[in-house]
Amino acid sequence: MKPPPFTYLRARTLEEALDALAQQGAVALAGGQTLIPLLNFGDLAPATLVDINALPALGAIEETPEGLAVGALARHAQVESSPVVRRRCPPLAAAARLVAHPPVRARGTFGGSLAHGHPCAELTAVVAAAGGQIELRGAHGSRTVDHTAFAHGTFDRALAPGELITGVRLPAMDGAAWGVHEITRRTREYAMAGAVAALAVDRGVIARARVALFGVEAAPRRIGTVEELLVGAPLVDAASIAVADAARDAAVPRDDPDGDSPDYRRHLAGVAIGRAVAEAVDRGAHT
Amino acid sequence: MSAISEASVTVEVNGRRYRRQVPVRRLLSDFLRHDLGLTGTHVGCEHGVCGACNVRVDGELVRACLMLAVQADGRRVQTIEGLADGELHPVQRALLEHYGLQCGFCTPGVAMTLSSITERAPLDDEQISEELSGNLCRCTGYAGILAAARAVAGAAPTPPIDPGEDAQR
Repeated sequence: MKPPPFTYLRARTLEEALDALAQQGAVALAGGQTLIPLLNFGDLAPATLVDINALPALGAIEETPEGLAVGALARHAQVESSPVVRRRCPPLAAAARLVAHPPVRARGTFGGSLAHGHPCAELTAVVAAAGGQIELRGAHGSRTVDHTAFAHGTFDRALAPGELITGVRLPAMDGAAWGVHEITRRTREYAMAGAVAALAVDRGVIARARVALFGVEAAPRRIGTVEELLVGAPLVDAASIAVADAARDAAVPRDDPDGDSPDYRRHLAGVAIGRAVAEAVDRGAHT
Repeated sequence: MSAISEASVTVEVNGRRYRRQVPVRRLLSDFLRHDLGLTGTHVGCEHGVCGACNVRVDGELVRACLMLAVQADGRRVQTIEGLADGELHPVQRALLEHYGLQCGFCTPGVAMTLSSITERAPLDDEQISEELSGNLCRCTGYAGILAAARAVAGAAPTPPIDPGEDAQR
């Protein structure tokens, strides 16, 4: 349960970090809340850990004309309590609160969460729902990738060797009708199923719906059939729409031979989406 | 700058300055226990689940098993040894008075968590549960731990258990 030997570099500039990450076997160390357990288990043996914690420019959370720009080093606790996040994307603050436990949230980072590619990642689900863009930097330049193209599957994302996530750009989800719900066996464990719902309401009618499922499939994604059912419906009637059935039909549980049955996980997908949408409707009706 | 395999770590722990040369793979939890001899910080799971190794770094509650010692270089650390100041810290006293101690293995981590939440008191029961959700007690002594937490950080503190006649036997 100790990390295997590696060498360590505390990067002072982004360029220094990228140069180091371009070397064979180099891995970025941000919050370390997932990486260090992997080292302790011996599941990972990097040649070099490139510590990016001293790059404060990566930790900023800023308002943009479209919504939000969240730096890769923004800690979950920071996202959870940020007034800017709560104003421009309240589901993101709510999702951050569902990540692990307070001491882990004190160090875990937004970029690390995305880089790890866990199917149950709450923050990634909000990025999927909002249609966020991932900003990447490598030794050979920078690029921006839509989340749909970034999250391929479980622990599988479009990161080229030596590339570092520097931040995420999120369109605002600042309407009053939103909900985030997850089902866990024990408080704050990995979700068996979870959902993010954000409804844009215009004169009492749902004009746009963003509904993402996480924890069930290989990666968080928007569930179009559920969104289509909601758009055009009066908000007051939305609670009676059979979103759970649609979610159950749409969900494709990832392979998990040791886990619960695919049917049960599809059922939970329906429950989670039903509850997140109900929460959104309820919140929207009371503001 | 080039990558290093050993580092000189200078850290202030419980108000005292230490300097040690350690491998960069040394976990902060092992650094505290083995390099500094501060064995009050307990190591349970070594993957951030149990909370036994909770310490405070620059005031922030963190998992010592999920940080490298080299990452604590130049920072201030507080461990369970730094809580009492001649007398028991209020959270230690509360754990004692509310029967929040079972075998004691999880207690240092619990006490560090409680020390961090007393600064944000008052908290309601739901908030207290949330804050303590990352501390596992294998004796399942949660009722006493929660009572102690309410006593130091709750909106409506629970009175200590009256030992009654048992104490006089």
